[in-house]
Amino acid sequence: MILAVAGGKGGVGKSTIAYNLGAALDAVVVDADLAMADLPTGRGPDLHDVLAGRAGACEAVRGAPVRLLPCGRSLAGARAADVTRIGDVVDGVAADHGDVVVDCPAGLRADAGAPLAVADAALIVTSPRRFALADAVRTRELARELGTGLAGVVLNRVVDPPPTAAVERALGAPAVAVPADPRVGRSIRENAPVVEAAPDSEPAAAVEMIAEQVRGCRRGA
Amino acid sequence: MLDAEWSVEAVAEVALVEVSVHNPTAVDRRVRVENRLDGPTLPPRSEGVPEAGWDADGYTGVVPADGTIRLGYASPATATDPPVVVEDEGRVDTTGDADGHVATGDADAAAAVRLLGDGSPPADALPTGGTGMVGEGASAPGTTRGAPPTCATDAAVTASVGPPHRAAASARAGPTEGDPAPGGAPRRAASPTTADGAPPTDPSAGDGEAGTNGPADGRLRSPADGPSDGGDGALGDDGPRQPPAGTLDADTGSTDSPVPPGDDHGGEGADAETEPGHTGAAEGAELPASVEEWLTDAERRVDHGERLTDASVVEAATVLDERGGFASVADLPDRLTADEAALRALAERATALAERAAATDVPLAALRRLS
Repeated sequence: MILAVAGGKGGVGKSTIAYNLGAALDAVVVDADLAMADLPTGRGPDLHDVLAGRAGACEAVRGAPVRLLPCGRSLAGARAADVTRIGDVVDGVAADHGDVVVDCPAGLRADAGAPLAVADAALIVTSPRRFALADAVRTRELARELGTGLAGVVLNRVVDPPPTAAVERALGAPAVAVPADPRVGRSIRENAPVVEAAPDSEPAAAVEMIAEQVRGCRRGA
Repeated sequence: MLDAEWSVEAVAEVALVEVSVHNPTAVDRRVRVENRLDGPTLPPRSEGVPEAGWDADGYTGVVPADGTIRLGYASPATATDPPVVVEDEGRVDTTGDADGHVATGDADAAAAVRLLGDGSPPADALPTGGTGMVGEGASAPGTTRGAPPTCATDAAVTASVGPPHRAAASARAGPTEGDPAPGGAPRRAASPTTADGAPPTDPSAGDGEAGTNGPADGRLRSPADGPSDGGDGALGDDGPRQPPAGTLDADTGSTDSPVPPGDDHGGEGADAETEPGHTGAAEGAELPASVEEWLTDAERRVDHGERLTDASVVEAATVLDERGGFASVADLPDRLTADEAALRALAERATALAERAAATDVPLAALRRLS
């Protein structure tokens, strides 16, 4: 199954959620933010190389505990990457590795739209703030236009009791709130997904709930 | 069942084809328009992606009931008649999108590009105009230059190559700018002297301030390549481009700041004051940050290219490790070719501008009286 994690607005925590969800689903997380990648990379080919035809998709998958297909960091690499090949790339990774979670960039251009278009379902990450919710609605509309259904919504970095019901009504999908927690915030930096680093914590439970929702989507599909 | 009309016109060496397909029946029908010209189909594109329904050989789509579709494409071929074959592929039972094209797989990503527009960084974001890698690595430590990297300098660089060449001149040939060089060379800020004080190279051959070396090759050398002994601003040898070993930063493979310690040239730089209208390229001048960054990146690539040329296994492995694997050297030869072209173009332009700048004579006193 290919799940696109999108959000419209930058900074809501798409990458963090994608990374932690990847751990919970034992999926490969593809960093499709071609111009501003932020999932950890290392040595070896990356998505820029794959989309430019310089490397095969599975050569670029690496890492533990969360398997990543990271992205390059250069503007030139972003420019040379052919985003229309993203479908073949994620299909290839899914064929070899199972589920794929695609961390989409912010915005509504083709770099965000292409991974949304080729995914089986989308997960929208938003913050319980008005500005972010408006962008989440736009992203939901974009996913709909590209023929991708919504698996769910994540209300990230929640501090006060979130307006879950209102969000579910606005976006037409079940919403899960992930509490603001420093362990989530540093999970990527420390390579420690919260479901492994703090399995009994509230954020871990929230991530597991999102994962279960995604799995349910697959069964129903 | 479908009625088709077409026209083909030859323009230059390209055939332009227009096709009109009418469906007189009461149900939508699928149509295949196959190109029969002796060349590939160049379809209409949106955001660089062929419009929906087009492939290398033609177009597939749906003609609505009692409706007409009009298509146009080009082909680098002789305009022959008929240019296409139109095939009726039957009724359409399933509903696709507006033009009957049901998107699948990669067609979705292409549809996203068409619909949303390309989201990749613009070519202007890349200092080499798209041929180089910006993110190759951090720019050279510029602290010794004392120049804070600012975006304001970019405008100056894109507008003209003036500042860099002056900086290069000052860095290396500062002593020769305006310096009555031995041999009576013309007093242009373009004549580096060689280590043994021989007459400077012929500036008209396109060297000098741009930092190039011998007369014939017009290479752009990093100013840091210049003075090996520093005392008289000598250029160093005229040999192949080899950054002096001492200036290579072992960690990054880049050269140090392009401006050697200014002290050595301080006194001689003052001679430049005698040139009318020129304050002279003082030893404090430097290249704009973006130019410096570009040159440093190019130099890093050249350095790696040099080290990989006839390298030992150990050296090759070291370079591969620095660059991060084969994938990142696979395009190095192409990039070096592009670098060479860009640097030569820069040298040519920079030298021409340097000569123009040297020839100017702004009469400040007279202008002051006028204003």
